[in-house]
Amino acid sequence: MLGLIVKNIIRRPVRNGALILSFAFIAASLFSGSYLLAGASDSVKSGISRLGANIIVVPQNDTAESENVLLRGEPSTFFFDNSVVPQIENVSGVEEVEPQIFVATLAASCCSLPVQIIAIDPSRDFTITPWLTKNQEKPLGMDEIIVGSKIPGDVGASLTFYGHSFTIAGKLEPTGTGIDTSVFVRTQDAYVMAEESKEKALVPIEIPQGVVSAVLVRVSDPRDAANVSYRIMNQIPGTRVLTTSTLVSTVADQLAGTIRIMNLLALVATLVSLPLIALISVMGANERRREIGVLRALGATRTKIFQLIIGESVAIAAIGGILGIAVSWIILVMFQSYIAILTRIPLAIPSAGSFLSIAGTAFIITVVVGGLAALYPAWRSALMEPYEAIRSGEL
Amino acid sequence: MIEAMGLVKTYHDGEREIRPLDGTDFTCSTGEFVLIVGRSGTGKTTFLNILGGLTRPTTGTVLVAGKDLIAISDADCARLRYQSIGFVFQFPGLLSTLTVIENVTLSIGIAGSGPVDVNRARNLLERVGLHEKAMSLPSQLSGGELKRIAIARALMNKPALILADEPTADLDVDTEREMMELFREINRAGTTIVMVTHNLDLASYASRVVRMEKGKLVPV
Repeated sequence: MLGLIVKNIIRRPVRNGALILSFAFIAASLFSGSYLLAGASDSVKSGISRLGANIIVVPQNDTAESENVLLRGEPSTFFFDNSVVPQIENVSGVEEVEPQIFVATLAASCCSLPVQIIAIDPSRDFTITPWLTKNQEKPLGMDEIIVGSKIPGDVGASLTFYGHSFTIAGKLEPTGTGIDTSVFVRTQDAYVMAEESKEKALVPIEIPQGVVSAVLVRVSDPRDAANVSYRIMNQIPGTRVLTTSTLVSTVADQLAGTIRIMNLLALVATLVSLPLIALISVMGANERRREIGVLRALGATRTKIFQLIIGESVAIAAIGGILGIAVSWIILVMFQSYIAILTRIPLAIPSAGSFLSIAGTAFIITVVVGGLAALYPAWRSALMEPYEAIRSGEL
Repeated sequence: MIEAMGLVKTYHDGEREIRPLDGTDFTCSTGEFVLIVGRSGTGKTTFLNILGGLTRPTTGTVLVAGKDLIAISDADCARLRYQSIGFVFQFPGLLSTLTVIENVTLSIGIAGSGPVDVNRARNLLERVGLHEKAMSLPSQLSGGELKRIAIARALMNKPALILADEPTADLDVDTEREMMELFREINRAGTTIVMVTHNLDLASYASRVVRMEKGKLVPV
């Protein structure tokens, strides 16, 4: 019977092609929304994991700016007093802290867009130094920088910021977050650059002494991160805590509008397509009355007729589902950067596990819709008396 | 082979009751070639379809190959059609999406189990003179060719009984003669045939001829 289903689908290309496109649209709508959310979520997780921190403490008044830096790579400059660093170190459950200074450049020789300079202290750093040691077996030297994946230039190339020349010592893997457009320098080099900018740069930069922009925190027990976050905010006034879950939640909130539209699209596509597909199935079953009668005369039982019609619809839905998922996936991957800019969210290609889960769910829902749409015509065809089917139908 | 007693079939066309069969009795022994003649609209096709289990009589009993078609379940009736009955309709009844050989072997795919005997299908196509058309689609064949393929399909499961409804309608005289020769050959090989036609000229091919009149069968 499988062979008959396949031949019926192949040799009725126009009607089945239209049905396949309808199912492809349903599958694409279902897949795209979930894929974007998973891509954003995975992007944030991979970005935070790249930083190696469980918690990021930022100035309470500059939370939005710090989220912009981390999630969207929108350069920003903000500080708070570095007296918070020992206070954070003293909070119960904190294992290690790393202060960083964020400086936004207005323009740089390297790029047409501003970049985010992040000054780190190599003696306390657990973000860049371990990565550099692992990859190049040497710590970050004087006037050396590590750049994100979207900063142009290879290892060994020179980049100038505020008249100060730096050498690229390493390039990070893409994360889909603000890290991709960031430049990591040593704190002391950042201060030298700021000092030199007074003479060399058209618009000088000022980095006050005794400030930090963010404090990356590694906790003793990652399962206790939420409690440590709570303690930091309670004990140290003027701080705000960012964790992977709060950042994912921020991104999800931002994506909510887009996801709502995608889900609405999927719902509308399903609600519009379902009766249309059902109608086409009913029409198809009516057109094939005599064929059904002949099959019954040849010995097919009612169950076989039911299975044949449901099987055809499910197979068409499956082909449409695969097509819709494949095409929407290709489009989402091809236009990933554009979508990220448009939606202002970090976007990475979801992990294989996430992809399989999202694609599998979209596929199963599409196939179920296909089966449901054919239920009535299949039931009606199966119950039809063979002689009546032969007499009233055409072949 | 067939024993039908007191068959009545009624339809309703609005308020009007139509009674194509009105107490029809019929018996047919194994190996017979019975021709049922009669004018159009006298209930011949309805009667043939009752014998094939494709519709049920309003009242009466039908025994085919020892099975009571009124008493058995729909699934058992389908099994009986698959195992013991071959149908040749007035229209060829071939599926347009399948090739000739796929049409001939269709019953095994849709109702049977086990492998398809392609060699038998090819032999049957050779027997009806169309082995070279095995891979053609029905749309590429003439009316006479389509009807011969329908016969090959009816013979695929080696049925004990063939029910043929006006199989030579719309055919030219030569093709009609070829078809009837083929039916005679099939009958001589041991298959019982009950054929409905309005053409009394075909009587010479049959072992017995009966006429359908006012819902009853009478000898000719």
